[in-house]
Order: sequence, then C-alpha cells, then structure tokens
Amino acid sequence: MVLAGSLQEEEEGVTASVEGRVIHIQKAVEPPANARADSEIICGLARRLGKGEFFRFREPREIFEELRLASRGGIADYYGITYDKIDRQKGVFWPCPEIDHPGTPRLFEGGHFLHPDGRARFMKLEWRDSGDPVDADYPVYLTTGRVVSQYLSGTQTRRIGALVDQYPDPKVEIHPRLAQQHGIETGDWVAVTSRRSSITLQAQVVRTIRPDTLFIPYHWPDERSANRLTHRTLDPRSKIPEYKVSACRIAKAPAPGGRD
Amino acid sequence: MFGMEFYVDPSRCIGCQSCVKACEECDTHRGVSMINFDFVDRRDTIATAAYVCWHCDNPTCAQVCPADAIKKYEDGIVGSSLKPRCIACSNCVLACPFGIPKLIPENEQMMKCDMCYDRTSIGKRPMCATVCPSQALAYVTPEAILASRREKPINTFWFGNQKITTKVYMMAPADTDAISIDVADYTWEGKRETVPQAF
Repeated sequence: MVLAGSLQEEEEGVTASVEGRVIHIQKAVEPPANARADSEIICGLARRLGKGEFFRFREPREIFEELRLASRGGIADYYGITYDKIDRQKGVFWPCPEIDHPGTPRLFEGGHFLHPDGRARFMKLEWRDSGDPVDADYPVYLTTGRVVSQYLSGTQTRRIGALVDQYPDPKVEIHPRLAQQHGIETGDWVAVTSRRSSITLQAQVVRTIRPDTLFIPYHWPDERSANRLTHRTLDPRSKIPEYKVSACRIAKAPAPGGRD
Repeated sequence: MFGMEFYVDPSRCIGCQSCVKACEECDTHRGVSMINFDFVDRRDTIATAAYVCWHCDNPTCAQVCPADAIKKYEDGIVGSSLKPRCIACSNCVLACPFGIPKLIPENEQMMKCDMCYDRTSIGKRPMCATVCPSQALAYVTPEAILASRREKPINTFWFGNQKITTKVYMMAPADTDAISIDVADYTWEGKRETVPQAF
C-alpha cells in the first residue's frame, strides 16, 4: 500500500530547524494528482482506526495549537510560540514558555543547565569496538551520510528534478591509495559488500576521505540503498544504530542491468 | 544604484549550490541557472566556487557580438543576450575572459547573469545573494563589506595583456591591487620564459 504524501512545499505548517528555531513553511504548490497533505493522511488513518474524535483537525494550525498545550512546561516548551509570533520574528526558538516570552536563541546562557544543581557535566564513555568490526574478509570501513541536494530518505527531495540532477545517483567515495590497490578509477562500477549484502555503484576517487574508509550517501532506496550494507547494532544509551561504522570490501564490478 | 555592490568570495563558498537553484527558479529564465559553479578539483579538495557575471566596464562579450545582442545598461549592468538578436554563434562564450556566457542549445541563445535586473533595478538584492548562507555571494554596501571582511574588494583583472575592470568585486588578500591570470603561465611546458607585458 502506498500513501501518497506531500512535500514541505505542498502543505502549510511549522517545523523546527536543527537550531531549535520554529519556522513557518507556506504552501507554494498543490500536491500532484491524488497525493494528499501528510496531516490529512494521518487524520484519515485515525478515523479509519476508530479514533477520529482525537484527530478533529481542520488545518495544520490546529495541530500546532495542540502541540503548544502538550509541550507546556516541558523542556521544549512551545506554549509561547504562536503563528503570529513566528511570522513577526521570522521564527521563534524554543523553549518559549509564555505568550510574551521572545524565545531562547541560545540555550544555557548564563551557565544554568538542566541538572538539579544547575551545572553541566562531562560524561565519560567506555570505548568498545564496532558491532561490525573490520577483519581480513571485510577490511575497509564504510561510513554513510548525506549530500547537500537530498534530505534523509529522499521523500521530500527525490521528486524535485533540479535537486535530482544535482547528484542523480549515489557514488562511492574512495581514496586514491585504496582505489589504486583495486585498479579503480572515477566512474568505474564497484561492488561494495558487507556481511549483510552487496550494492553496485560508481566510484568517485577523492583525496578528501581516509584511505581505510569508503563513503556512500544514503538517500536512495532498493539496489542503491547504502543501508543494505549497514548493521543494526544499537548504541547502548541512545539506541541509535551504528550506521556510521560498518565493515566492507570493495571490488570492480560489471555495471548493473541497463547501465553503462 | 541604491548604493549596493556585488562581492564574490570563493573562499567562503561551501558548495551548497543554493545560488544555482535560486537562480534557476527565476521566472524570467526558469529552469536555466545563470550561476557559474565549479568544483575546483574534486579529486584533491572539496573546494567549490560560485560566480555571477562580473559585468565588465568594457565588456568583451558585447565587443565580439556580431549581432549587437548584448547591451550594457546605464548603471553598469551587462544584460543577457537579446533573444530577437542573438544568433547563438558562441563568439561571446569563447571571448569572455571569465568564461561566463553559456550557450543554451534548446533556446538557440546565449544566456548569462544580468544581476537580476528585474530585482536590482528596483532596489532588491539578486536571488543568489539572498540565499547564499555564507555570503560568498554578497550584495551589500561598500561600507558593510569593509566593516565585515578582512579581504579587499578588487575589480581590476589582468588576463595576459588584457586589462579588465568590472562592476562586480572579487574579495582578495588585503595587499592585492589587481588579480593577474596569464594563460601562458598554465600552458608552458618545461622552462618558463618571461613574456613581456604591454603595460
């Protein structure tokens, strides 16, 4: 089943940027064909599941009103953030606990932290090896990440033609020293194989990566998915998967079907 | 006009290409970006550079145009080619010392940055400068650039013996008065000989 959702540009609403600034995104275009606003889909699902009385939202603004109340008194307090204030101030930083509060552009100013004694703490970490250690069969580290023209799994960006054109396919970044060992040049098709799976992409030889590490951006699905190679070991504290460190090997490979 | 000038500083460019995309969105040339964007040498570095047209005081592109399709306006902006006149001969593409004009084959026309003339002529900033997060492309007052940058705005360029002065400024090291690029420096094989300059 596919629930055809919307891009940010296709639905009005607010979002919080990485710096904690709550910003207002205006709807610029209609979702194509039968695609619907994400909030409509979620509310529709709730109705079908018999909980529609808790999702009686007519527009994203009403959802935001609930978020204001739900977060009131919490660490990320949105209570004092209103659409009007967001538009007037060009964004409001949380926490913003009261209607006349301007927001908090910089956390912990004045040296007051959230521990009961008001102080910050250094945390010590016990080192442990990766859950997917390199060995003779998988001697190269694999790390994954982003390219600037795509966003996360690509659902917001892989339909925007100009952004796709900027970086159409994931490439394997490899250092010249490692590339030379395998006879790999920029543009060659290479198979990157981990203990889980193997994917075939084109190489990009660059001096801007460690010689013992490959990089593959993760925004694409299916045969181009970097996360077919990564593993599921969780960080014991945050429970974040260890996607940044996997073991792999690399070799030249024939182009996948239909490519050259 | 309006006291603003354009300043380019490739050392601030982070390669996000927001300028490329913002330019492409413009209604006057939708889908075609007028930004010249380069990965300087991707194999060795992540350095990137984004440029607009330098808007020469005496524009080479207009001089070599056989159809008189490139006009310089009173405020120093050099326009894109005039569609009814441009014959897509590429003279300007080949002659511009900065490599700015682009031939758009589908349009059979040369197109280049016109400093968002629809915007800057009424006091608005060019699209690229409004979106550039590191202000590698900046459209501000001369006072603002002097107050906020260590580099010096330069608008005199030597390409071999050709001296070019421009409306757009390049941010250069503080002890620089002109930027000199001689193609002979990059094409000479073996021992370099000194080529006498005409100035």
